[in-house]
Amino acid sequence: MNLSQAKTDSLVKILTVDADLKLKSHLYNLGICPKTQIYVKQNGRAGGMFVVKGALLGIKESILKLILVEPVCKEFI
Amino acid sequence: MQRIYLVGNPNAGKSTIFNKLTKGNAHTGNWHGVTVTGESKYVKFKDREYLFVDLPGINGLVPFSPEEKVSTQAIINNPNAVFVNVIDINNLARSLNLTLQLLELNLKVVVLFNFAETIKKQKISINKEKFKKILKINAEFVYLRDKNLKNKIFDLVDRAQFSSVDYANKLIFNNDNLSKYEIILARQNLSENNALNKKYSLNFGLDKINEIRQNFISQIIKNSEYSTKNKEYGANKLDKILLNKFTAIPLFFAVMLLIFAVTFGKIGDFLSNGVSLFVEFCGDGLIKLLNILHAPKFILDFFDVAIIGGLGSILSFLPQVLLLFLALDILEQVGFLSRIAWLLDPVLSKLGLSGKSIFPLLMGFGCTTTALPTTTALQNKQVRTKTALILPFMSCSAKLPVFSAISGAFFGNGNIFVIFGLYLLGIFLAFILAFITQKILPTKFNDDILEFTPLRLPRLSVLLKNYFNKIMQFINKIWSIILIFTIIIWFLDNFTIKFEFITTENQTSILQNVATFLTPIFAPLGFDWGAVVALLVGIVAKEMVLSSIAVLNGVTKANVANSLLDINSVVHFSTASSLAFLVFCLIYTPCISALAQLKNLVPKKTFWLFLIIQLALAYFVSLVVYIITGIITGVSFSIAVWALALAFVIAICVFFALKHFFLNKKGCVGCNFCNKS
Repeated sequence: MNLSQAKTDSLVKILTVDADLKLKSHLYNLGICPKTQIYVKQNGRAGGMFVVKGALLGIKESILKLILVEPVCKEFI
Repeated sequence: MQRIYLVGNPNAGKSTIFNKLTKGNAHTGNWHGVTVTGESKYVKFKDREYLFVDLPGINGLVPFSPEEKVSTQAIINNPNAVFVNVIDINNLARSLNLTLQLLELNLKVVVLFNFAETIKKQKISINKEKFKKILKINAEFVYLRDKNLKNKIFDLVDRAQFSSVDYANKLIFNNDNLSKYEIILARQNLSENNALNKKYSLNFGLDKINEIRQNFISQIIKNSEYSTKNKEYGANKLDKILLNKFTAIPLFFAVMLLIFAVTFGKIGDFLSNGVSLFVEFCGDGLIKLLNILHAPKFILDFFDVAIIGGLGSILSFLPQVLLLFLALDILEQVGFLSRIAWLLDPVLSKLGLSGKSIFPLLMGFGCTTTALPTTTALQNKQVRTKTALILPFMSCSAKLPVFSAISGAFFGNGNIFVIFGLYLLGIFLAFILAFITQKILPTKFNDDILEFTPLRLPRLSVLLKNYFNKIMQFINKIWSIILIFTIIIWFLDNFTIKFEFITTENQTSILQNVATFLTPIFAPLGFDWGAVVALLVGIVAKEMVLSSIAVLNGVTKANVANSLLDINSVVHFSTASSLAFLVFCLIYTPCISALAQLKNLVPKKTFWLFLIIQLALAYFVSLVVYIITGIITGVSFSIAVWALALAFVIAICVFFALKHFFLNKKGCVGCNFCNKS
């Protein structure tokens, strides 16, 4: 599933980032890269808030769709 | 001389350290994108000379915005410099991304762990010696109140050595005489040269190199025993209010309303009147002294009208300008702006902007010239251009003296509503323009990610320093551009074309002769030649509008308002024409220094087209305001009706020209709106 489909208050692990290389590089530098765990603090239609490597990031819908994740704990699917 | 570059993630505190080391005045704030150009300063310490450069924040060495490009270029073009990597100790894992990329280039890197004061509160622990050992570089904690901080940092810099990371040996293999940076880019498939990408990315690629870096970062975190209690750095309990659109947005508007009420209401007026009295007291003393010295009449007139009247009229508004700056500074320092940017993003996106546009736009209320460069922090090119174009509509503080004086003359205590209305009109027009542009040329992709900066109490020392800088900037502006042009205006208004000092009403000044040619254009708006001169001079600096009115009417600040009501004054208005004048001042071309900034930010054709549209809009909206107000107050204006019809036709023609210009089927005309790089 992509990150926009992850539930609020769930912990997910990033599988891949499906973006052009420059954007991907930027996302990787922000900590949004494969194997990173992200806490979904608040998800919403226009975007959401995520804790990425300790920092609180607002990520918009257009980018959420590029990030494929899987739940860390299956209880939170 | 040793070059030292301060590099680090945005909001890591580089500028604060820069100011501490150099006693500099770099603007600091709690917002990503405060520093947008490198600021540098020479420092002499223990008989050694250093050049410190404060670079804009970056997350990695592949630039994603123009401001990041400034930093990247500085780094790759100065391989022998010392790079002081400022790291937020609360956010080590992400910060190390940049550190590793610097070390991959085999540069002289030292690390400063900033915000060390939070170590106890956030229960952060790190073994500094083990950190230094694994990375083979020097590192130091930064306590800003440490009196020995400067010694420690300079010592660190002096002992800096070229350093690298072990895995870099696998990355750098160069048979083609390329720089390390070019090879690492090519290894990640990020070079602009596809042939290089093909050659060097084999068995590597962006994903592989990122994996290598992340594994090493995990190793560093583990071996240096780093841990922090705060797992959600940037989040705060107050975010329940500040990140909730139903509470935060009303709160934001309430705060803005309060700021305006304080600035333009009784407190601002009281302070302004205080400065005004002081200026008049000094001025009276000066005139008495000149009379005792039997100074000639034109000298008396020069000091009385140009210096005391012209400059004094601007100085008296200094308290209100500074109140506005202080309020915006506090908002920025606290960290509220990043939250508002996030919440307003869905609305601003519909206008082709970004939530991050809110920072430059708010800065525009202080000064358009300093706000425009901050648009380079916006990553999306279309958003950047659109934000820069609408920014001049945010009424800057330089227009405040004009608004305050003229509205005070005609509307008394109701002037606060007039001023607030003008600000709202500027915002409304900006958003209308953005909306129309979005319809014609939609913004392709808003790819912004926003990091929420931690909420912090504003630091008094930073506030006072920024405040002092603003005072000095204002005074410098007065004693340079404004003084020169005030003198020029006084001269042109008090001497004939034969350079005789005017003593009778029959003589006409140089200024009057020149303005006479332009006056018919502005007659439908109810502007006389003096008002036209004030507007022309306002292109140099907006503060000049009021000072030129004072000079032309031959009055001091205390009497400017009354002089505008007197039909015998050179510059006088009716209620309707005063409002039209205020609206024209609000909308028409910004000052020269702002224009120079704008020209650097948008394509040439867009720049000139924007100027034409802005002037046309200023004329048209002023005309509408003049007619509506005139109807209410009983003014007859047959010429204006014809002018309105003509203005409508012009407006429609401009609109279709704009549409045709940007949708030219023959091909791209390089307007920069289609986000092609």
